Amino acid sequence: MNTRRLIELSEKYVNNTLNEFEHNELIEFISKSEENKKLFEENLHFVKNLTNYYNITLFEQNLKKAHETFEKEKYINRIRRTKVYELFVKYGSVAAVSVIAVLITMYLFGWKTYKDQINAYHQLSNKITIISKNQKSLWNTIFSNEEITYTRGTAFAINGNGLLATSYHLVKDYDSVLVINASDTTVKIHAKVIAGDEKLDIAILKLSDSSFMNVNNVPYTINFSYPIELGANIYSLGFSKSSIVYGEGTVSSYTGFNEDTNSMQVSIPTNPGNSGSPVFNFKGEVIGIICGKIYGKEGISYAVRTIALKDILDSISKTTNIKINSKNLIKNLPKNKQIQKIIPYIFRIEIY
Amino acid sequence: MKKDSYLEEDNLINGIKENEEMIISYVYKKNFPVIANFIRLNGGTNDDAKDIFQEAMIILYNNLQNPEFKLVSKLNTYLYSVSRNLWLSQLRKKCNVTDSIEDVADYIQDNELTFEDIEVLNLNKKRIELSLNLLGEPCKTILSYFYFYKWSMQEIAEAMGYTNAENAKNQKYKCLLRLKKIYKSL
Repeated sequence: MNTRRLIELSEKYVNNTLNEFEHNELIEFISKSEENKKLFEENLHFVKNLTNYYNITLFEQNLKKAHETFEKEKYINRIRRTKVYELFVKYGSVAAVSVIAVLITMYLFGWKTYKDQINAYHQLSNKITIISKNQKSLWNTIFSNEEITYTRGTAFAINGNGLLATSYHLVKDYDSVLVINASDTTVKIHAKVIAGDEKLDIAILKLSDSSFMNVNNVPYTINFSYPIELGANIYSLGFSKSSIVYGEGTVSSYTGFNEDTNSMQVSIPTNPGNSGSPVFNFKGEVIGIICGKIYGKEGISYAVRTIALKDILDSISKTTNIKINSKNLIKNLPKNKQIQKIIPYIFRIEIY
Repeated sequence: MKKDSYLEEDNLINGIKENEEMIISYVYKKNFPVIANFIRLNGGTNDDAKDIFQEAMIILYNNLQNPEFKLVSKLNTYLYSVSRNLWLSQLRKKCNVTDSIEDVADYIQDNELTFEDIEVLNLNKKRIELSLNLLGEPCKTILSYFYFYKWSMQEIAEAMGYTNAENAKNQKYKCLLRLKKIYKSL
């Protein structure tokens, strides 16, 4: 075998492409002598190194390409990133400025409104204190600087047996109550407070002499379960001065002062002395008792609802028998006739 | 086939073994930044990183040529630990430090080439390179056409102006024998 054939076969051996014939030829050659074997191994070593050299060179070239691609992509990415950055600088700053401006505006505006609200709240709370100071009872305090002072108010008859209802705040601090008839101011009858509730602001008086009243029965009834109807026409009769005064208005709210559900807001003009005045609807039923107003505000008065009156009457009915008129005699009368009938049962009271 | 499954570990390793340009590029892109970062953090430059990583890839390639070699760890772990060890040994040489840098052969693969094996491989490669430089034209071109570009004999004959493939083949073997002679003499 010549050297050319040997290197050819060695190459095929390394590449694993020997056919059977060539394989036998090679084996025959190698087994011939030790020298041949050595020669083959030398060839093998050389061919292996050569292929390896080219393979590694190829691999290195591939690596170089890969590195170039990598760098190129990095560069492109960097350019892209700088472009994005430039765009951001160009438009992003504008956007950021406008967003910040909007936020600042919103913040300031919100803060201002918030502050306004706080201010309003303070004012409101001030108002509340003022209002509570101003919620003066409708007392007509005369000679307040003198030693003997007395308070005037109004009371109305519940039944013909000498039971009267009035405001509790009138009688709260005093011991003697004098009841004066509207038709005859010269006669004063002593009355006794038999029940009262400061919270509900209702007091029940009993006349010492029941014959003081002309008839046994009152012409009107007390509607204990009056459902509040906003805008319902109502009127009131009371002694804001020495003679009786008529006042007319409407129910204006379901609740009274400070959202008190025991009372309601009415738009009847009231004055000091009106405390304890009955509030009638146009059927001639008592639906409330005037108890107070907001000082300095026109058209806002408060009346205790008759439902509270019922509570008081229930509590005293355990000990004393109370007969309450259930027959409304003035139901179908016109207003002026109703008033005429009612007036004798409205009393001026003086409290010492 | 999904792209993901195409790029599975086995495919990557096989691609490296078969010297596939695309796969090498992919592995390069995935692994180089991590190693470059490590080397930059340990007193190296980007060029150092490039050299070290390429060396590690060549070690992997050489290892993969051995059919008994088996990669136990994941590809990226292997590349990282090889690069790391290469860089640390280079640092050690540079700074003349012997023990302060711990040299952990964390991931030992089955039938891995030893440091000496690699040295021998490099030496042989250099010897071939030298022989080729001494060989001269047209032998160098014929051999590179055949071994490097994997052209057929017919293509080589056309490119080199030989009448037929058999002629080219004869010429190739002549060159090969000449080269062998040079190689032996070195």
